[in-house]
Amino acid sequence: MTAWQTTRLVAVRELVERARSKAFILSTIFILLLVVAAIVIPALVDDDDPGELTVASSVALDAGTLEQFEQASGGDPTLVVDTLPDDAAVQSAVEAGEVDAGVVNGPEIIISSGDPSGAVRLLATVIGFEGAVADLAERGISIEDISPLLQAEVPITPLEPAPDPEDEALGFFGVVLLYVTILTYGQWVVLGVIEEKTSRVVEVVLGAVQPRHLLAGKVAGIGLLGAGQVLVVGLIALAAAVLGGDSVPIPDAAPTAFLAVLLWYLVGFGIYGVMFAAAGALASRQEEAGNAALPFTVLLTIGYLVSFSAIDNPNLLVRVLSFLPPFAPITMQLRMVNGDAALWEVILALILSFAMIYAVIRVGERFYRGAVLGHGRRLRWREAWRSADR
Amino acid sequence: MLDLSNLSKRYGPVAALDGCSLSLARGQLLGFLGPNGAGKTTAMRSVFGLVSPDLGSVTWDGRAIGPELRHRFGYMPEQRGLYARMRVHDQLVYFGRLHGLSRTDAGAAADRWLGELGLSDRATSRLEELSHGNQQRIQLAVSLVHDPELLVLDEPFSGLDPIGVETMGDLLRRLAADGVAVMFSSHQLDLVEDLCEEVAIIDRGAIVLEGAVRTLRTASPRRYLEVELRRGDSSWADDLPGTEVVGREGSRIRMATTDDADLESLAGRAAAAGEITQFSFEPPSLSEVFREAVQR
Repeated sequence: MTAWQTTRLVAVRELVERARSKAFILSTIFILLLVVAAIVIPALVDDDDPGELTVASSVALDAGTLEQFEQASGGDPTLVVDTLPDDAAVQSAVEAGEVDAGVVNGPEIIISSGDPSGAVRLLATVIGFEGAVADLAERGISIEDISPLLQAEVPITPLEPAPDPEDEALGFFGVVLLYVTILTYGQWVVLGVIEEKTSRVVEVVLGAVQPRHLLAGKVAGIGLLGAGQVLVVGLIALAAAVLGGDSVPIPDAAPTAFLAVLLWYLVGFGIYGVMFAAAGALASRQEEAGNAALPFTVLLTIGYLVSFSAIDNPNLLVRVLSFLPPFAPITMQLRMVNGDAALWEVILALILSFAMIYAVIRVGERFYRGAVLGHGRRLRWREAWRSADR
Repeated sequence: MLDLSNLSKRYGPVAALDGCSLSLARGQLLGFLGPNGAGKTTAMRSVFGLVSPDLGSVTWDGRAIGPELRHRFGYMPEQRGLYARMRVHDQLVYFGRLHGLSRTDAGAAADRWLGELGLSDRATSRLEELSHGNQQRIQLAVSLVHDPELLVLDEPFSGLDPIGVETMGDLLRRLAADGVAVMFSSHQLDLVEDLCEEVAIIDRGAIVLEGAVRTLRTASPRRYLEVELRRGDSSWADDLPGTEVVGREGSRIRMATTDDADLESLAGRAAAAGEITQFSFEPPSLSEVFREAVQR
């Protein structure tokens, strides 16, 4: 049997057994619900009736005022006017909270208490503007004559284009998804290795299979399961967005972002999965899983936090880390989504990452081999390295 | 033919193996004996590459054992262990395939062994749902599912009830008769004596005695004389030259002596003391040979 066949057998077992497990099924359903909720709920909220600004008025508000308001507010909120006979009636309606605001003679706007809302301020501006236009008209000046003067504002030119809020959201989701998925499935590797070690089944398996094939198969199987989950979540998210129609905009960068996440997840898992497996082999009990994996969890978290601090605007630190393999998966993914990474930069980061994968397999395999057949207390890294000679 | 040749392995100051040599032919059923810590498990693990010796070689039919050859071996470690949550049939198929069987062959072999061990109705159960005894059987089936040419079992009888012991013994005998080279370690010497024609005894990392049980017993100059009289006591045997009383119970007495003891004169002394109902002169049992060999 070739090395490839053996590794594939191990990987398929990991994949199939875990895909059937309750933990995997429940976590996938949970994530799907979250994603669908994140897409559908804002869309539902958007479909809601636009807000209303209810106003009681003793002054007749002409059609021009209403039209100006609708234009300025973009239809949200709409203005609902209840014309009352006198100021006293308006005041009592405001006091009773029947309306949001009242327009009384003056004209003047009254509200029950506190600072006026944006809509009320808008109404004040519109009424004042209409009054000013009427004054000007009485003096023989039409609004068309002076409107160029009203736009006497110097132009503002941003040096860099404003970050697209949709890209920002994609960057955010990509960073979180990568971090959470690598961490979750990395923990599965740690626990899987400890389980094999403590149940002693590893001795039976290693009687037939070389340690590096077991290690590679385990990391590949669990890693692909995670990739499958990312893929399913991505497809369902896309389906939800498509079914949602126009109310759910699909950002232009979404497909690129999705592929970037998938690519860097696979690369990242190649690095971290092997490191987590070696760490798991040192442990002697399930309870030690967290401690054993801690150094690598910290490495992964550094990349995550640095990316998180620079989601809208990749800074120099992110640029540097995006080439360094243990941090590259999250940081380079972010730069790709932001359109900040040149192709040569991505390729260089990939080459360095593949070199790192090769190195961690060579080194990690030795620790794994040295530690996984041991029993008794938790081993130190140095002990595992030495006992690899068995 | 399995050959362990002059194996040595040190763990720091401890010599787990110290020039251990042993061979096992196809069709042979070998009992591998030794006190705790003598090196049994280390020697067995070396066959599967789980231990790499500092010195010496492990060969099968004269070839150094690598990953490919190991696919033809079956191993049951002392510390039992399988995948607790995996279904029994899937588990057997998996281990069959790890040993190079095709999916179809592994499936058929799994069915066959589950039938053989009376566990066909548990094929889709998870291992952890089985009783301890049945889990042991699955462990055995895992070592057998690929029809190995060499079977190495570390303490296969430990934890088995008397019926389990008998079933296991019958199976090992049958496998050897079918041409499998079978080797197992055990502390239950009576059992080994019943089951095996050949034993090897290891002590402090080296084989101290090896051969057919019958030959090893008769090769010892020691003999045991056991005499029982219908009536009377055993005082006739006190202070007989060349003998040492090792046990007595009523008129029954057991004496250690040598193979050149004068049986005629001993029988005469006994007959003078009363009517003889039992008179046996036997070489040491395997456990007595064992104790002599390991000198403890």
